[in-house]
Amino acid sequence: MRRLLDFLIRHINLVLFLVLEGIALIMLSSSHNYHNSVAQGVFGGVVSRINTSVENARSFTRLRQVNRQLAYENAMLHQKLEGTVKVAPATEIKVNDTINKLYYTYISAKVVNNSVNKQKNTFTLDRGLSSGITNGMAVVSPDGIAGVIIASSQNFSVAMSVLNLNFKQSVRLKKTEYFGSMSWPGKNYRFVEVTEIPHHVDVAEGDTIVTSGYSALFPENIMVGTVEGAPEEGGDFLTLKVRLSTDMKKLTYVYIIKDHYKGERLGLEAEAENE
Amino acid sequence: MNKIIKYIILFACLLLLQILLFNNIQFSGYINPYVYVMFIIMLPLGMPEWLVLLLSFITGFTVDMFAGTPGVHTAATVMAGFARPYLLSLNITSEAISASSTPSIKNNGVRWFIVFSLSVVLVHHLTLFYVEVFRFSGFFRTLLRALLSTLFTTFFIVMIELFRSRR
Repeated sequence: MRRLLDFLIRHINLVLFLVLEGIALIMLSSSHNYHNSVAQGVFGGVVSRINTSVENARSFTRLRQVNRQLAYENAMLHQKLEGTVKVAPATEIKVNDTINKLYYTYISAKVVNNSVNKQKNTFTLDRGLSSGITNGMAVVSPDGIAGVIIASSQNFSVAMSVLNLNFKQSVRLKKTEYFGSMSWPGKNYRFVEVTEIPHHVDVAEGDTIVTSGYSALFPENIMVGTVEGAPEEGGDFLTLKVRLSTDMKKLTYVYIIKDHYKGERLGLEAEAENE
Repeated sequence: MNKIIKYIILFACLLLLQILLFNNIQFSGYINPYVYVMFIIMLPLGMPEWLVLLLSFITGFTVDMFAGTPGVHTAATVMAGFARPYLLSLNITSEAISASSTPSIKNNGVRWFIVFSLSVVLVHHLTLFYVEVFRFSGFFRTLLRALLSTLFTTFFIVMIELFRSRR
C-alpha cells in the first residue's frame, strides 16, 4: 500500500494526465445524453444564452435574404394549398392527409447555433420538450432536408446535421424513382453523396433527388438536392455527387416535422421482424 | 497577483476570439484554426506540470461547452498540456530561460517561439482531429486536415503574439 502511494506520488503528473484524459473520453462516449449531464446543468444556461445572442447578431445580417425566402415560400404555399391548410397556433402548421387525418405537424424553429466545419456537425434549435420535440424528428429548411433531432432539453433541441458522418437517409431519383442511400463524405459542406443507385439507371446532371419515405425519419418527397457532374461507376452501383438544396451555412429558420404515425409504423415493423 | 489577472484576461480574450470569430469562419473543409491553444503555450515556463494539466483541462472543457462537442477539445488540450514539458526540453536554447518568464518573441526570439508553438499546436490538432472523427477510415484526409489547420493556427498565434509584443 505504502509502495503504491509512493509510486503514485512520484508519477503524479502521469496519473493526473491519465485521469483527466479518462474523464474527457468518458464525456465523449456518453455524449448522446450530455444535455442531461451535470456539467450541462451548470453551464447550459449561460452557454445557450451566449450562443443565442451570437446567433441573433448573425441572423440580423441575414434578414434580407430570409425575408425574401419566406415571402417566396408563402406565395408558393398560397398557390398550392388554397384553403386546405389550417394555420393552428401561430407557430404550428398542420397538414392533413387525403383522408383528413392529421399526419404531420410542422413546428417552426429558429437555429441558435450551427456548425458546418466539423466532421460531425450539429445545430441547435430554440424549441424543445415544451414544444413537443422528441428525438428522431425530421428537420427541414424551406429549401430541403437539414437534419434529425438527437437531443432535447426543456427549451432547446440539438439536431444532427446532414453534414455529419453518421447521417444516413434513404433517397430516390425523382425522375426514375430508383432509390439509394445518402451520406456526407465529410469534405465540402455543399455536397453529399448518393450511393447504391443501380448501374443501369439513367442519371443526368441536374436530376432532382428527393427523400424516399422508406425510412421513418423524413416524409416522402422532401427536396434533397440536384445531381452535379457525371456519376461515378464502381462495382454494380453508381455513386452520385449531389449539391444540397439547403445551404447549411445559412440555416436560420427551419421546420421540425412531427410524424403522428411513426410509433405505429415502427411498432408494426418491429413486430413483423420478430415473427 | 498581477500576473494571474493578466492570464485571466488572456484566457477570456482567446476564448472570445475562438467562439465569436474562429468558430464562425470557414476557410475550407480542411482548415479549422483553434487559436485558444495559445493559452497553454503562453503559461509560464516553470509552471508545475500538474497545474498545466489542470488548466488544460479547464480550457478544453470550456471550449467543449460552447462548441457542443463534449470531450473532444478536453482530450486534445490535456494531451497538449501533457506534451508541453517534453516539447520545452527539446526546444530549450543555450541561453538560460528564467523559470517564471512567459514564452514570448521578445524573450525567446521569433524562431524559438514559432517552433515551440508549432509543436504544441501539432500535438493538440492531431489529437483533436482524430478524436473528432473517432475512426481510422480516411486516415490521410484527417492527417491533412490536422496539418493544414496546424499551420494556420500557428500563423494566427504568431500574429497575436506580434500584436501583443508591439504594444
